[in-house]
Amino acid sequence: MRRRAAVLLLLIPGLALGQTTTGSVTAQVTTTTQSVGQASRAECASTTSLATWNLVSSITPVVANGDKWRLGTVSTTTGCTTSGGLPTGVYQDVAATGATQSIPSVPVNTMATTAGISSCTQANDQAINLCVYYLPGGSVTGWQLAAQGDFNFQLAIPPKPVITGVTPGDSQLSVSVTAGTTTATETATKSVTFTVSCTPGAGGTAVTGGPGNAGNITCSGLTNGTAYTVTATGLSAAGNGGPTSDATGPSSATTPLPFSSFWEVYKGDGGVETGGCGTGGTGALAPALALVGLLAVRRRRP
Amino acid sequence: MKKLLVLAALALALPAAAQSPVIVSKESPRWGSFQISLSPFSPNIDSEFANAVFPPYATIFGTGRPLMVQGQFNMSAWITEFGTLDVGGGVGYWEAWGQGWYQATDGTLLRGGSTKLMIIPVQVQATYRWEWFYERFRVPFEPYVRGAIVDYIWSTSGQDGVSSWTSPEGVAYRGSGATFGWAATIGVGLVLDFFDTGLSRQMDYDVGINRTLLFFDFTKSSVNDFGSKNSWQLAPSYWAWSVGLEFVF
Repeated sequence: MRRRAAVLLLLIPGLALGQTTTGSVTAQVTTTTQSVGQASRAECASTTSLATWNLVSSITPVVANGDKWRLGTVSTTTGCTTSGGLPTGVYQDVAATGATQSIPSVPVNTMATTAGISSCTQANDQAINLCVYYLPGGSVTGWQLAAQGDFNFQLAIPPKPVITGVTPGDSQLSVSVTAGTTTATETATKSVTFTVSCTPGAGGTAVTGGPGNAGNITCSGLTNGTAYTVTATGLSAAGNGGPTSDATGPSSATTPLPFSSFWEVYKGDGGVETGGCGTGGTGALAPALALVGLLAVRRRRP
Repeated sequence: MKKLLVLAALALALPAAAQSPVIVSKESPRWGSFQISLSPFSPNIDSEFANAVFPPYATIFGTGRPLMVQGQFNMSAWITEFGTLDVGGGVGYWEAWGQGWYQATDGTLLRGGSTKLMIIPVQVQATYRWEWFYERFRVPFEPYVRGAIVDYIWSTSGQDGVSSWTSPEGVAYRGSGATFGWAATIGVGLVLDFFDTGLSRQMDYDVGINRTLLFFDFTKSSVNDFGSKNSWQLAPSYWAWSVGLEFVF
């Protein structure tokens, strides 16, 4: 019996070493459209940006006892605390309602400052750890780390893009955009998307195209015959806008026109083809298919 | 002792012999062929516009010849000591991209928007390949001739998909269809087996490919619904060359 218990302890490392398994937690900014686990420069700096934390705790709280959660953040180099003094929370301590719980309205800016992010306009992204501490009976005595997770303050911005060409179309402009060269302060290169802006040369409301990957991005719904000024902007994964590209136009190359397609040109010039299936072809194809069939039958004959 | 040594040697040799395929010199029965080819292609649509300043095809797509890729599958219908008559079918793909145009009031031609002409050539064909030179004298060339009935399934598109044009009388013409015609080909295949007969036999043994040819041919064709006055000419104006590989199995 004692041997079985020893084997069991060896098979479960946490039990053998007297450790507890930590749960997991994610956070999503909810005041703007944002992917789980990241925040932009604007959301980092804003005092109104809020996030929802979703935790799966390794500890099942006793609701009747008044158990609480404390939410904390820390730089990834430090990591979540497991012993010693209970870290400061980024939000008020929350009444625990279960091992799986969703906690809304956590201020994003406090998440950043508590983790030691001094500036939301740094050139590089800042990864932090989310830490959820279990407070038995709401007391700071006997606290335990109940869940931890990762979060990224995506602070880098993309470099100034380059417009390599503009092709006018019918009520649209197709803009060829390439990523610019990174600098010391414009470092974002992964998952960068681009938007293009087409503004009437004589002034007026700009039309935006994208976001899309580097390549051709289209401004649609433009006015034929109007020359536009075209610019492009890069967006990082979290939506940080970089510097705007140099402007192209207004010129004839940035003027949408009702261009004719090949078929329209051909027919407009008096081309005789009428489209549809050929009239003389079906009759000609039938004997050919019959010949193929005849030869195949003949080959099989002994 | 000597007998024991011989038995031991045989015992060692047998597994190796069992693993190595015995490649027989007699080739497997032939029953067909497959080929894939590439050919620079440009339809002679502008033949309708002999005196035009801006003939539509050349103005929009240029004078280049984008590659047409084609595959053919044939069944051997008649095999003799002189050669083989194959019958079968084929399909391919070709497209050309260009920019549309807009004629300004001062007559200036402005370019913009993208437009495309796409052709899927489908055909049935009969090919006679003269194999006598190679079979009799081991000269690694096999001339061939081919006749085909073709159907070019085509589509033109602009910025908003398949093009359409409405005449001043209000009749709409959709820019897609199929045009029939004929093609005649003369070519020669270089028998690659000649250069490595061992590999050739191995291919026959492993996958049943009796012969591999690198071919080069010229095709003259006419694809205008056999002279219909309501059809354009989708065949090139020239003898179109193509190059490819043929596998006889």
